Amino acid sequence: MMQQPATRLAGTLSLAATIFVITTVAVFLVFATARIMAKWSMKGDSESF
Amino acid sequence: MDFLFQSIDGRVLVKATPVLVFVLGILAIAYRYYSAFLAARVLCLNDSNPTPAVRLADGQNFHVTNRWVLFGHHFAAISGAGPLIGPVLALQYGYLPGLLWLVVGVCLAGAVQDMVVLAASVRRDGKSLAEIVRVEMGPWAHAVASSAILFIVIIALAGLGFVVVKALGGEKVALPATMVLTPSQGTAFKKLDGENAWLVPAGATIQMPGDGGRFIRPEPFTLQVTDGAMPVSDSAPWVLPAGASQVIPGSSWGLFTIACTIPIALLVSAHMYWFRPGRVLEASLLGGVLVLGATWLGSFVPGSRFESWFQLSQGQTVFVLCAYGFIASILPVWLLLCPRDYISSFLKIGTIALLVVGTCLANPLLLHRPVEPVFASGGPTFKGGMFPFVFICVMCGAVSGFHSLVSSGTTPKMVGREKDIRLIGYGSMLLEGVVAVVALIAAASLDPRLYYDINVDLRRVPEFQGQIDRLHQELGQAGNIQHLTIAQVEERVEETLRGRVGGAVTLAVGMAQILTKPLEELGLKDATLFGYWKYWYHFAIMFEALFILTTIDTGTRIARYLVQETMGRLHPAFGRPAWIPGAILASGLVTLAWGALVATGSIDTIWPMFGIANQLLAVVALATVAVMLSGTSGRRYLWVLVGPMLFVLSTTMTAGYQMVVIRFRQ
Repeated sequence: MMQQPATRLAGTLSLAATIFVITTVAVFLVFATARIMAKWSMKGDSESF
Repeated sequence: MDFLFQSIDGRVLVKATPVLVFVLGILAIAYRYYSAFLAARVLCLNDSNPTPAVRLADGQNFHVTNRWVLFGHHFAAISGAGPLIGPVLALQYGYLPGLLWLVVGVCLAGAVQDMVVLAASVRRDGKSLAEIVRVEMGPWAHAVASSAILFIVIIALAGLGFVVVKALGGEKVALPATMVLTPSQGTAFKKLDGENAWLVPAGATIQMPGDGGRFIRPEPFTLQVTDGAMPVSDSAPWVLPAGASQVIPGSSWGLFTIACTIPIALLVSAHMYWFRPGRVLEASLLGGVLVLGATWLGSFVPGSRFESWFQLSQGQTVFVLCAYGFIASILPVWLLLCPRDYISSFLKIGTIALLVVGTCLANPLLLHRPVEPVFASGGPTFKGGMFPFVFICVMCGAVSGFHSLVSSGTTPKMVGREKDIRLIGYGSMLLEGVVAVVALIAAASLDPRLYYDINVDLRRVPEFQGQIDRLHQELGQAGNIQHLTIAQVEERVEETLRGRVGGAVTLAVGMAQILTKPLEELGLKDATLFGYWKYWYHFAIMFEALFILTTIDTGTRIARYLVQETMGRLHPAFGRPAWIPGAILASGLVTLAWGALVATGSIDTIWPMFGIANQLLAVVALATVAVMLSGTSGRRYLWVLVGPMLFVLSTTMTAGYQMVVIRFRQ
């Protein structure tokens, strides 16, 4: 089926937005994992959350 | 046993009330035991720790608030349209997958996230999620998280805005050339005054071109053709020429009622701040009465000379919605945003209570199948398969990253005692889960034929007609026990319903059915009941739109602050929220971004994107609090955060990958 230009644009926009969000969250999780590992290996826990 | 289930045509149909009672029981157990465990062991909540509302009290942002008032505020802030719409759309997979995810997700993921993020913010001077990231993980992680949050908020706004546009805006749907329309015996096409428009009578048969299928439209509809085109005779089959389209009028009643909520909010604001300062209850009652009055008054708009003012196309509805979001984002919060939120929070809690009571009294049968094999690998509301898309479709009622912005926004600045975090964080999310379950029940109690008549986009009917025919054949008599056709429902609610995808209209019809049924038991006659349908329907549409508009005005403002914060690095003046040129520019950019997505998108592009983005924000929130917990003695309980985080991550990443692959294949 032929797609309308607006539909193609929507497809491209949603694709770009999805890729961007997935990438940023993946990068964020790298930071978070590194931080959890660093804190886990540290001595002297603080008592409170 | 009739109270629990009914056997029809060899199929056992479950009733709604036992399901609702069972779910409420599980949620009560989760609140009693799991939230107590989180409070005592994981978070070590202690009332002797002074909260930011006590330590930093300034009478404006930091202010100790009664726990029940704060519960209401927090619930109103987190409950957007997601819990109403998602479960309705997920019904294409059957009601059981969505229901199970709602119950398990809300107890073990959503409520945990809301409660722990709230505790984290209370322990960090009421800081926002992005600020907590900066403190815990440094400026780079903060930059990444902030940009993800900004994108996610914009996508969420587009998702919610689209639902309003589909529920209210009119459109012209192109019909393929050589499609054949045949009026039923004894009926005829009728030329309408003015434009090249014809009324196609009820019961007309439609033969799609090629092997596109053949089906009957029980309801009448308006057809627009190019200049001079007409049928051979009024009652003979009509082979449509190129350029023909079906006209779906906008909902003037719905738009009028929703438009009225803006001056009503301004009036309530004036009442609270100028006319009778401090008389909050009085202002609330005034707002409630006026909103109900507007719903009733709206019934006089269709057919009146004001109809054309409120009957907008989808493009015009997008424009009006964007204009509203833009203006609400710039105006002072006390003028429009706060009184609107205030009115809508009363309306939300009242309507949900009404719906729970209505469901228990009506005790309708769940007419959809528990698991729907026909659309298990994708259907009209969602392209993807049951896994992972049921977890993406049903988000806000199970787990929603958007809530973490509220839990680290206004709420932590008003908590008076640490132990109240359990009620406010965990309890209000459980209530949101109840909203989602009730929405699911309302939609599942609709005749599946009616559900798909509303939820298949008119342009895509040929694509799904074969599957829908197979579904009805498999359901047999049990599928249409109530024999309520779309023609009958359209007549009762006085609106065009076919092809109004997006979930809002389906839910409004479901709500109207549930809320009318107890009146039927009281012995009201059919004619009177028909009259009630249209009021319940429009009340439900107004209720949903209020949910959504509340999120749109708050969300546009949140995104505006994020843009201004970023622009402030280029020029310090932009960083000041009160600087008007900066506010206008940032609001304009944000509105333009979500408006473009709404204007060009469709439900199967926007809603999955919204679901993925929203739940990825939950991953960010859970990861952030996991970082905090890993540095404390409570780190042996890290699984309570990492478990749901990994599950949500696996579903969202799988869905994201599949979406990208689907798009590339197109």
